[in-house]
Parts: sequence; C-alpha cells; structure tokens
Amino acid sequence: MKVLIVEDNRELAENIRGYLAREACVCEHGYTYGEAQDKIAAYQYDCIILDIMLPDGDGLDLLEFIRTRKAGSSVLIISAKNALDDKVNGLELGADDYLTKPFHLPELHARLKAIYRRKNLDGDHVVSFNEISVNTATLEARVNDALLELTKKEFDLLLYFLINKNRVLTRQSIAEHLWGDYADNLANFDFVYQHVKNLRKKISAANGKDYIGTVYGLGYKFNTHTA
Amino acid sequence: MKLVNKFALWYLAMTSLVLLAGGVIVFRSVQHENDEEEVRRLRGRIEDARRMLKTGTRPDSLQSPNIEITEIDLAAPRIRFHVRDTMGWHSKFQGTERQIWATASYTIHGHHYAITAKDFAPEPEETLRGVVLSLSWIFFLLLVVVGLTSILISKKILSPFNQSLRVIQAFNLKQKEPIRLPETRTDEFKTLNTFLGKMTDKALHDYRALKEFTENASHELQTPLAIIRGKLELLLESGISDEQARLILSAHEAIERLSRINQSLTLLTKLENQEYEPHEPVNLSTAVHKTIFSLTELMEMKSIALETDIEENVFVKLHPALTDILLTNLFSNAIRHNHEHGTIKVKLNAGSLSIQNTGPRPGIPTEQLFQRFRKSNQSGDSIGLGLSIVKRISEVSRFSVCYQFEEPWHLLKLDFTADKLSVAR
Repeated sequence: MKVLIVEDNRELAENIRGYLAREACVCEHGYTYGEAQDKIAAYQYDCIILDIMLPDGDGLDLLEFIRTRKAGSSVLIISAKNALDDKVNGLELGADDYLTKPFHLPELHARLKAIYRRKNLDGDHVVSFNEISVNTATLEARVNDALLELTKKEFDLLLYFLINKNRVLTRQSIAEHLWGDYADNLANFDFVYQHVKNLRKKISAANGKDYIGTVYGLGYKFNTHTA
Repeated sequence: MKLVNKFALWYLAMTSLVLLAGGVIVFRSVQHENDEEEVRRLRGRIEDARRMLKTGTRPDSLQSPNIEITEIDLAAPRIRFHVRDTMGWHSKFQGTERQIWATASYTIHGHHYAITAKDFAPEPEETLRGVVLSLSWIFFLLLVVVGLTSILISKKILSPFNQSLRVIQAFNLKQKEPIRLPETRTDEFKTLNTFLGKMTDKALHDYRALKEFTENASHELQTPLAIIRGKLELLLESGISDEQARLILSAHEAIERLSRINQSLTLLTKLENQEYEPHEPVNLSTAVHKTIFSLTELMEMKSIALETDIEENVFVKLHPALTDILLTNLFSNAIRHNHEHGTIKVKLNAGSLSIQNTGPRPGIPTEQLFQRFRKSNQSGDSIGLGLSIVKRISEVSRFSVCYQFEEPWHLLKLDFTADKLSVAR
C-alpha cells in the first residue's frame, strides 16, 4: 500500500511513517500544501493521510484538488480541530474518514486498512491469519471454517487485533476503538478486559490457538509467534 | 416604568405638595386681609357715629341694623375698641351668617355712649372653597401640560438614548462589525455612547483573542500530545524490558489523561465563550434512547438495573453537539458512581429530565460537586470535569440543574421550564 502523509509536523509524520513502515506500507511525506500538491499530481497513492491545518493552505482545498484529479486515492483526514463542521465538510468533500488528534497509531492503521478494503471493491474482504479469518463484508469470523458466534464488539476487537498483529495495544486504544467518544467518560477499563477474555474463550472453544496475550499487565498483543 | 413617567410623577407629586402649602397660605392671607378690611370699615363707622354725636345728632336717629348706640352709666369704665366674631340673622338670606361686631364707648357732652357697628363677613369655608377651586384648575392645567410635554420630550430628547439601547440589545459578541451608535448633541448621551463604543469594541476584541487562543491552545497542545503518544506507542514495540514497559505505560496513561483534560477544558472555554447557541429544538427522547442504547453494555457489565419512564417527543432547545456530550456525561456518571447490582432510574417529560442512581455517599459537600476538578474520590480515574461541563451546558442552554443525595439515591435533575419561560417571553 502506498501512502502519502500530508502533515506539517515532522515528528508526527515520522510517528505515522514509523508505525506503518512495519506493515509493508510505502510512505511518503508532504510537509506543506505545495509539496503535497506536487506529489499528488506526479504520483499515484492508495491512501492520503491529510492534516487539514497546513502552514501554507487549507487541507480541505487539497481534498478538492485530489477529487478533481480523480486519482482514486482514499483520503483520511487527521485534525486537531474537533469541530463538527470540519468533520461534516471533510466527509462531504469526499474524505473517507476523519480522525481527531491525538489518535492512537493502531487506530489510524485500522482506519486506513478499513478504507483501503472499502475502496478496492474487487479486493479481498477477508482478513486472515493462520486458522482465523474475518470477513468484513459479511461480518463473519471463522476459525478453521467453523463460524464464531461473536458480538459486534468482539468482532471489531478481533479485526483490530488482526490488523495490528504483534503490536502492543493499550487498553485506552482498544476502548477508544470500540466505544469511540464514549470511552472518554469511562476511565475504568474493566470492560476491555471482559471483551478480550470473552474473545479468547470463544476462539479457544473453536479450537483456535490463543494468540492474544497480556502485555505487561496493561495492554494486549496478538502474537503470531506463539509456539 | 419609563424614565419620563418617573420624572413626570415626581414633578406632579412635588407640585401637589407645593400647591397644598400654597393653598393654605393663600387661604390664610385672603381671610386675614378680608377681616382686616372689615375691621377698618367698622372702625370708620364708629368714628362717623362719634363725630355725628359730637355735632349734636341724637343717638336715636343714628340707630340702624348696622349700628347700635346705647347709653351706659357715666361711671362705668370706658370700653376700648374691640372686635367680636359672631353669628347674626341675615334677613335677606333667611339664615345665620358670620357677623363681625366692633364696639367702643365714648363720653360725649356728658353722656357715655357705647357704639357697636356690625357687618356680615364672608365665612372661612366660602374663602376656602374659592381657593380650592382655583388651585384645582391650576393643578389640572399642569397635569395636562406636563403629560403632553413629557410625551413629546421623551420622543425628542431621549430618542438617541433609546436608539443606543436598541443597538446594545442587538449586540452580539460574535458579530464582526463594531456597533454604530446614533449622533447626539446631549453631553451625557455623548459620554454614554463613547463609553459603550469603547466597551463593545474591547469586548469584541477580547472575545476574538480568547477564541483564537482557545483554538490555538487546543491545536498546539494536541499536536505535541499526539507526538508523545505516538513515540510511546512506537517505544512499546521495540525490544524493551518489563520494567521499561511499565514505565512507558504509566507515562502513556498520564498522556491520555492530559489529553482528556485538555479536550474538556477546551470544551468548557468554548461553552463560556458561548460558541454554542441553543438553536433548533432537538428531540431529547430519541437522544436519551440512543445514549442508553450505547451504554447498555457498560450497565450490564456492572449488573446495573435500568428503570425508564421516558415521554416520547420531548423537544428542547439545545445544540446537537451539546446534547450528546450532556447525556453521555450524565449517564456515564450514573454508571461510574454506581455500585455492582445498582439501579438507575431515568425520567423524562416535557418539563425535566431526572436521572437517579444508587451509589456511595459523596465524599465532598454536594454544592462543590459542580466545581472544576472537585471529585468525590480524589484518586479516582475521572478527571473531575464532567459535572462542570453538565452545569455549563445547562447554563448556555438556559436549563437549571440541581443535585440531591438521599441515601442511597443520587438525583441529578435538569429543569427545562426556565427555558420555556424565556421562549414565551
């Protein structure tokens, strides 16, 4: 997957690049409006991560530029402005998703993958690892072809783990992924523990391997190297 | 009451006092002058009678209803001129009238005569009636003149003032243009307008600066927070020891907290800047159902029973973005401060929304719960801004909010009727 990161803050762009680099994503940077515009005009990207507050222009204008070029790139807006209007404007102008800063890198990654799957309609809706496969179109999860009875939240959780394999997922990041804004008001993370426990139980019951492990007692990790 | 009417009323009150006092003075002096005049006339008549007697005129021929001459003992002491106020029969009016008698005695040609002159005089009541009548007319004329002029004057002189008032009433901090005040030649209004102009300009400027600062602060703080968070997440991925991981995760949690506090404070500032005017009425019933639905799972996890009594299609004037924040705050509070197997009761009708939940006794006085960073449990995970946000949202939406604790029930009640009243007004 080829990704263009349009973000004026180099450190933040570097964070994103660092995280995505391990996922076999080719990342390029555009630190300014002009730089980004040049790159979009010259190259083809699968996905563009777009900060709408740029030093030399409005990211929303850039969004229009991307749309008029019919480049076929998906656009994920990242913004520090939590303003409702910006969100609505951005989505109306054809952005595929909107993420408010500060975001969790696994969350950004999951969103990116999700819009990538949605865009490539002929592409695969199945995310799989060994005996576990998740179909994002039919919302079915299988272990060795046996259908798992998962709740919506458990399904989302499994997908989140599969996309962020071998990554430490903090409880906050999981809570925010599953509950969105509501997680803000629920500083108690017992419910994350509950969901992870149920998911592990269901996978084991279907004779799947227990890939999900607790990390440092504070987060979780989907280990592909489990013996 | 209008300023002009106040002036007119005070003026009339003062005038009536003055007229009353003036009436007494007029009455007194008229009465006094009348009596003086009468006495002088009577004295003149007695003088005339005495002169006639001296010239040898017989006392009988001088007798008349108005003058009475009697001869008294020569040895009797001489009667000095004196006046008596009495009542006498008035043959023409067929009634008793006020009469003044003046008497004096003189020794003339070896006889001692007592001469009494009488005359009818106007009674004080009659004088009074006249005075009251004329003063009433004056008062009536004043009333008409003052009333008319006050209306005209208020129109003319106060018109710049009223215009300034209208401009100020229409003033909105969010407007881009400075206000325009009418030209006036009255010094006081000129001062007032200059002051108003300066004040609103300053308010506009400060508001803009504050708004800008809020936006910048939010943006400028969120970006470094995002960087730190990302770096910590990347650090977690690298080969680190358990001890290091624990340190990183604690730092990570602190960053989360910081970011939540920043977001909440930004929201509070925006609320204080009144960036969210309540506009369209929203269907609160639907919103409550939605919030309950999204939090059902959390309630189940704590085995909390929910009892609802929700009237359908309750509309209140509230900003849609605030509706979500308000309800989520209220319900998650009710869940967080609940205990296992507790209960939440929700009641919504056209007048109010009340949420009751079981839970431990609050650790701080209930009136402090709405203050920022006041938490019942200081070491808890919550950042202590939830109820401040609820209160602010209620204020900008013109609701009243109150909290009560009656073992074991915590009750938070939002009253919309204050809003309804202001709408009706």
